[in-house]
Amino acid sequence: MQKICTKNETKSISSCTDTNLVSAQNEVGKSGLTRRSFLKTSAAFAGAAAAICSVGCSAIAPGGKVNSEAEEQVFTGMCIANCNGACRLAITVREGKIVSTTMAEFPDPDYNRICLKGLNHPLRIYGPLRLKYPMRRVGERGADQWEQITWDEALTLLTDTWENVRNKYGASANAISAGAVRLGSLAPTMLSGMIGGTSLAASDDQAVDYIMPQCIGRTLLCSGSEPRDIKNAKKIFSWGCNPTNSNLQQVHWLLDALDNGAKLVAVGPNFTHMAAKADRFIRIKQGTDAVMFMALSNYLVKNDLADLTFLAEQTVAPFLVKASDKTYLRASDLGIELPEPVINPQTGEAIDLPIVVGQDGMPTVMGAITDPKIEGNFTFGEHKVTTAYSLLLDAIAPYTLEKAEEICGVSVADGEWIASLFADKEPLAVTALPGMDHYYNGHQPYHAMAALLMVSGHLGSPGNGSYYATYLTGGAVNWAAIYMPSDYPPSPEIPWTSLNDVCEKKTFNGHPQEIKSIVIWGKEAISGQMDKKRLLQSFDQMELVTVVDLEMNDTARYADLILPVAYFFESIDCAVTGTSHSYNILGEQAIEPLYESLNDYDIVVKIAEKLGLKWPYASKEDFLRVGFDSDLYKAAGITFDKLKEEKVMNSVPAFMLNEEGCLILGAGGVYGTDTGKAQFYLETVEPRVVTGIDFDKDSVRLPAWDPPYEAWDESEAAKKYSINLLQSHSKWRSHSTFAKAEWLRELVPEPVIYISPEDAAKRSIENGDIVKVYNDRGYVVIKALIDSGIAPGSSDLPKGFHLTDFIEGHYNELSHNAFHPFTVNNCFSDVRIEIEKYNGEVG
Amino acid sequence: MRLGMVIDTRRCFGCQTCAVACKSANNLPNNNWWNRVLTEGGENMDCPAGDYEKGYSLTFLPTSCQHCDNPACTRACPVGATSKREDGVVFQDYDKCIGCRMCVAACPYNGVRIFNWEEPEYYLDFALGDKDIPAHQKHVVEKCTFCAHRLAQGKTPACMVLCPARARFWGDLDDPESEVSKLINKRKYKQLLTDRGTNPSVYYLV
Repeated sequence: MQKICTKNETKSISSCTDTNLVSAQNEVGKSGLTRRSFLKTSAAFAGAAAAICSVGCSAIAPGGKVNSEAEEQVFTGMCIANCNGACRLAITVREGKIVSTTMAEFPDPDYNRICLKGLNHPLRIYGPLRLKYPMRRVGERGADQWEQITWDEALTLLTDTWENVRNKYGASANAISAGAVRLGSLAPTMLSGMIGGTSLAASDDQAVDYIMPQCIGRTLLCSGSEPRDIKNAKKIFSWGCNPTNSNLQQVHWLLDALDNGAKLVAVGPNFTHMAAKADRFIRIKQGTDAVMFMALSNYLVKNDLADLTFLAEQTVAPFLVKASDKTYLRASDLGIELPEPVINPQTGEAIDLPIVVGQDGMPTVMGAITDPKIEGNFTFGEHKVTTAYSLLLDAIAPYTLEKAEEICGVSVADGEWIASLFADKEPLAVTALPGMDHYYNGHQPYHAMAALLMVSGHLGSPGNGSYYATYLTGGAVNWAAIYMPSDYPPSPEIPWTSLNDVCEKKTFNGHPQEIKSIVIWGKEAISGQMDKKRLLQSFDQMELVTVVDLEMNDTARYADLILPVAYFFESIDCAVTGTSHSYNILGEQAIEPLYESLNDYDIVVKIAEKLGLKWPYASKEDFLRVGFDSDLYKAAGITFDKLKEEKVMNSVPAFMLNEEGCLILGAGGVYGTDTGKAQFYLETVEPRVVTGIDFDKDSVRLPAWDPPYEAWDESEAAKKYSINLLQSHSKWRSHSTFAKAEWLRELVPEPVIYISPEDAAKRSIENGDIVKVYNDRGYVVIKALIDSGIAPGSSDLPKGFHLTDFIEGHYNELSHNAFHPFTVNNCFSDVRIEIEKYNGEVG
Repeated sequence: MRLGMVIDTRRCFGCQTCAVACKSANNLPNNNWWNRVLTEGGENMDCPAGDYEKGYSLTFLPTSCQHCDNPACTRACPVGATSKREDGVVFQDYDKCIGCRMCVAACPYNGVRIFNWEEPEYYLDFALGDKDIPAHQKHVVEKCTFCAHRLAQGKTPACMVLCPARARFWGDLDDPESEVSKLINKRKYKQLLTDRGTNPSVYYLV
């Protein structure tokens, strides 16, 4: 039979390409089939098919018959997958059912977007994993045995447990994990405040999210210019990430830049689809990027290629750091009083301005002179001070390109070539998504990258800067009304990273702390948190694990109580945050909630009723109206009711945009930082979350590098395990979302680990072999594919498949729960493993 | 009129959105794909050829019926089920198709035609996608129709809505002012298996 090259083939499908397309063998002709004999054969096939289907295909019905007379109605909404794409969708309803979700236009077509995943919503809405009604566990935890209960029974069980736990362990032993990108779905974030419980806070991408705003500030959207500005760049680095998989809606602008003659350099451990578009791919060892960035800065400085004017005018370079306490020398230190104090518009208080030194050696306040010294040690009165720039030079001095070659594996020649690109004054952009964040030292590469952008002067104007495109936070939303309603003060937070520590040690930040019940609202913790075995042990200590979600995912399988949530298109809502564009999108109700599901907001109202608590909003639309009640929304001309009419509106006020309609970070040399300058030096150092774990604050003030926790040849783990494990984003899933979408599973039927030819050969592993991947914490049995793009000593296991998809074990058995106390962040890719051919039976 | 597609392989990054858009709009039966994005690189899907020292090679080739100007399939079909329309679309009429698969054998482009050996099956018990598509049938050959049902409504094929890479272009190749004509006049391109004399209406910019 003719080879049909699709789907289920993780093996090559290149035999179908133009270079070696072969003429189809006329098997039909050879067999001499006539129409009649062929139909006889067909009948036999039909019989066989019918026999098979009589026993297990009841769910499969003839779906091909379309009622072409049926009326269709198209609604607007947004794809919700925590991928940042935030595609606006056209949701088509026919005969009461959603039959497709496709691209819907933005006012600016440059933002039109859809991907392979967002087309699959109907399969999830009506699919077999959809949670239909409240359920209570009847078997062992994780055994997937349930009984259906009513909403009233479910909420009684939940609120009774809260009361019991509060009486035994205190109210803070009731924890709630809730977060959302739609305004109405933020209602659950109020729950922990309502019950006086603990809010379990997200700990993902937090190293980059914490350090970058401190270094370069943020706009109303994010810590970077609007992503589409990258098309103005003439040199682009895709560094430590793969936008074609993890942020694919930004790639077309990058391709536009290439069409306009820009040069693209991909830097990372492994060859990616983005690297396939690049002029150069430069391999760097995992977790060493900070060294490379510092070495590049050092090279520019030593070769007189640093942009000293930019440093003096737009960065903290000239500020004077006191030897005594590492803070800046300020006007009050020298008894300088300004005739007209500069007022901080946010606090209304006078700013104690930093002091700079003029070329004449005299101290004066920031802004009073245009050409301050940026290097030197000085003594003014009792204060011994050094410029921030001199401290930076000391910090980067050990990191030469020769040192970088030794640590990063990037040759001096390649280093010099990269440096020459940074030295050039043409616009230069670095796309650095959170790939480098997923290490214990995850803040260091971004800090050092920001410093390099400052040293080279590539910040603050179109086409320049870093485009890490992390969450746009809905900067205009009236968050105070949502997080701090007058009746319910915000509750104390414990980060997800600390959950296992708290459950084991029964303390947090030096205080006694228990967590005895947990509500996990819309989060796949088992595939998306660290160290699965420890997490399940934490669950074991809980009196009640409640999961509120759309689908029976891995976390739901380990729950005691499941509450079914209505799908995104089953209630009205607005997408206001978690996006990589500046638009707010109305989410219309396209269909009624299926089965007994309720939308997030209504569930919270029901819980409040059950608790006898006052609920501050008259309706969901009332709640949405309050969320839009802010000065910034007024400036952008947006209210909820206006959005209901227009369906999609730009949330950024026009006065913030440049002539091209773009929001540029640092425009006019003003950055949204504590000092208003770009900061390679951190005057104030606080941990992102106070966990009570000490660290040397001076160690994070300037760019620095510490070796990765495990993913490093000299780590403790490396004594036993020789390969680094990277958990990359796959284009096929957004984390675990869409992991079971059947159309996509036809193309990628099973999880795989990609390994280098060198590591495969050492272990006699052949392409497609089943392997066991293991370390001290656990293991997973999985198919191995040999990929020459993978660096020797590295491996890649794209995240997101469900527990049931693996032959045995799970990739998050391999990850660990260690975190840096400065950033309190999950380190998904800072993991060491060994791989061996699997000798067990595979069922 | 000669409707056709231009696909910029320098922009395509193999995301498969066009393949899934086709699957959705045409409510394709389980395991049927009319449009597939092939990896031109290493042995495994999405993996490159080469190595770090010598350099890597990885491109993608979205592949579906080439809607040839001089199609081999139409000459092979004994009953006129596959025919070229005046607008250049090579159409497949399920009701005429006798399932002989002569067209599959005659077509030089492997895998773009699919024969439904079994009654088509679906994941859901109602039809997804566009409503004006002909119902899929057992024992017929099916393939990309350039979304003929959408063309009839003045729309573009589903795979054009929307390529995230902005790598796909659609229009009348006979119209020198069309975007597709301008692109192939301006850029280097290839067609698949030109030695077969089929003159495909799908052009790949290289």
